[in-house]
Amino acid sequence: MSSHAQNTHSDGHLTPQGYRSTRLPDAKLMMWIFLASDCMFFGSLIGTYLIYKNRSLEGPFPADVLDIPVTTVSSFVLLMSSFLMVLALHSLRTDNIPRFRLWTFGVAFFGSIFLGFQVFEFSAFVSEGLTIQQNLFGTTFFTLTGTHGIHVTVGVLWLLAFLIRSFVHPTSSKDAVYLEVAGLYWHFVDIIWIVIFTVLYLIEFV
Amino acid sequence: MASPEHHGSGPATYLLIAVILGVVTFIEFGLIQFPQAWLSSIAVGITLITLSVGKFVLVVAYFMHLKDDQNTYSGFFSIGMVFALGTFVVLAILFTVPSVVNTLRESIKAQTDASAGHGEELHGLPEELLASIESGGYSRETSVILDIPRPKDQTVALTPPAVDASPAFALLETPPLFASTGQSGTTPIDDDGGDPSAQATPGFDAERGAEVFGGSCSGCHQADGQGIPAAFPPLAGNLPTIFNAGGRSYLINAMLYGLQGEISVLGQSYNGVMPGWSQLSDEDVAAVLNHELTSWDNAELLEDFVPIEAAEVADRRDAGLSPNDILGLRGALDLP
Repeated sequence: MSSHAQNTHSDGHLTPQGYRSTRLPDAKLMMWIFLASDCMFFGSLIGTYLIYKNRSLEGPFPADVLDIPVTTVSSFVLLMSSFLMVLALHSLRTDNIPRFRLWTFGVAFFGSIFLGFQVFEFSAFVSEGLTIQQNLFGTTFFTLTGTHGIHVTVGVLWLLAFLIRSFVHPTSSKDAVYLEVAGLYWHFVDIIWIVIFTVLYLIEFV
Repeated sequence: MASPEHHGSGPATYLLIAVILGVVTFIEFGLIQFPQAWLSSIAVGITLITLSVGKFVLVVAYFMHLKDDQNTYSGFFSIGMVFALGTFVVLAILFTVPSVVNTLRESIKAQTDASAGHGEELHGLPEELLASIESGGYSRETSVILDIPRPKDQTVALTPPAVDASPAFALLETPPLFASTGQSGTTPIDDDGGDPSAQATPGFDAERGAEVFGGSCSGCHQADGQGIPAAFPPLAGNLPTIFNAGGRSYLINAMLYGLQGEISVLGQSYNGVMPGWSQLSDEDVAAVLNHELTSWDNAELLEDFVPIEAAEVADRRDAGLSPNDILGLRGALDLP
C-alpha cells in the first residue's frame, strides 16, 4: 500500500493534468484511443458507401448532383482551419492569449463556413430529388457525410466553449494539453474529410 | 518535458504544410476539372489516391504532431487504422461472394442441362442456398439486368462485384431473351417443355417462370415469396388477393412499369420503389407472373385462374405508364 503510494510519488507524474504511470496526459491518450475507434467507425461507413456504389436503381446518381468546385472550396476551408488550429495551440503554449483567442475563433469560424457549405449542398441535393430514402446512393451518402458533419459541429462547439472559458477562467500554457486534445479531434475530422473528398467526390469523375 | 516547443515544429513549418495541403487540393481539383487526354483515368485515379494519402500523412505527422510525439499515441492510432482497413477489406471480400454465387449457378445450370429431366432434384438445395446468400444484398443482380446508365466506370479496386457478376449472369439470362424476341412464333425452350414430369401446372412454362423469378425477383421478394417486412412486400398470400379483385391487368402493368409509393399489404405498410421490368420479354413476364400466382400455396387462394398469356403483356407495352400511375391503378382496385 505504502510502496504503491511511494511509486506514484517517485514517478512524479500525478499532476492536476492527470499524468500517470504511462507518463502521458490521460486526456490526450484517451483522445487518441477514441480517434482509433472513430477510424473504424468511418472505415465501415466509407466501406459501405463503396459497396453500394453504382447499385442505385433510381436517380439522382452521384455524377448528377456532386459539385466538385463547391466541394473543393469547402475542403480548402476545412484544411485551412486545421492550420489555424496549430497556430492557436502554438499561441497558447507561448502564453500569447490574444493570438490564441483569435486563432481559436478562426478555427470555429472556418468550421462553421464548412458546415454552411454542407447545409447548402444537402438542400441542393434534396431539391434535385436526392433524399436519404431515395436510393442507395442517398442513404449511404447522407449517412456518411452527415456523420462527418455532426463531428464538425461537435468540434466547433468544443472550441467555442474553450474560447468562452478563457474569458471566464484565467487560461495559460498550463491548459495547453486540453486545447491540444481538442485540436487532435479537429485534425482528425479534417483527415476524414480528406478521404471523403477523394473517395466520394473526385473518384466519381475520373 | 513540459517545454512547449520540444516537438521542434514551429509556425514556419505549419505554414509550409498548410501551403502544401492547399496546393495539393487544387491540383486534385485541376485533375478532375480539366482532364488531360494523355492521362488515362487509371493514372488519374492512382494520382488522386496517392495525393490524398499524402495529405492525410502530412496532417497526422505535423498538425497532430505524431512525427515527434510519444510512440504510444502512434501505436493506438495505428491499431485503429489497421482495424479500419481490415473492416474495409473484409466488407469488400464479403460482397465479392455474388460472383462465386453466379459461378455456382452456372455450373448447376450446366448440370441441369446435361441431365435433362432431373433438373428439379439438382435445383432444390443449392438454389435455396444461393438465394439466401443473395438476399443479403439488395438489388445486386437487378442493377446488372436493368442496364442502369452508370455515371462512371468503377475505378476503385474495392468495388468489383457488379462487374464480376455480369458474365455469368449473361450466360444464364441472355439466350432465352434473344430467342424469344427474335422468333416469337416458336417456343424458345422446347426441350424443357417436352419433358412431361417437369410441367406440374399445364398452360404455361412453369420452369421458365421459376428461372426468371430466381434471377429478377427473389433478390427483393425472397425465394419463398415472403418479402422482407417493412422493406419489400410479400407475394405469397398477396398476389391472389389482387388477382381476385380484378387485378389481372394491374399485375402486368406493375411488372412492366414498376410501382412507387406508400401501399398496404396484408396489414403492413410499405413505402418503396419497384423498378419496371419492361426489358423482360412478353413470354418471361407472363411466365413469372403465372409462377408467382401459383407458388407458395397461392394457387389455392385463386378464383377462376386462367394463366396470363404473352399476348396480354404485349398489349400493355405501349401504355407508357409511370410507377406513380401504377400506384393510382392499385388504389382503384377493390382490395380488402
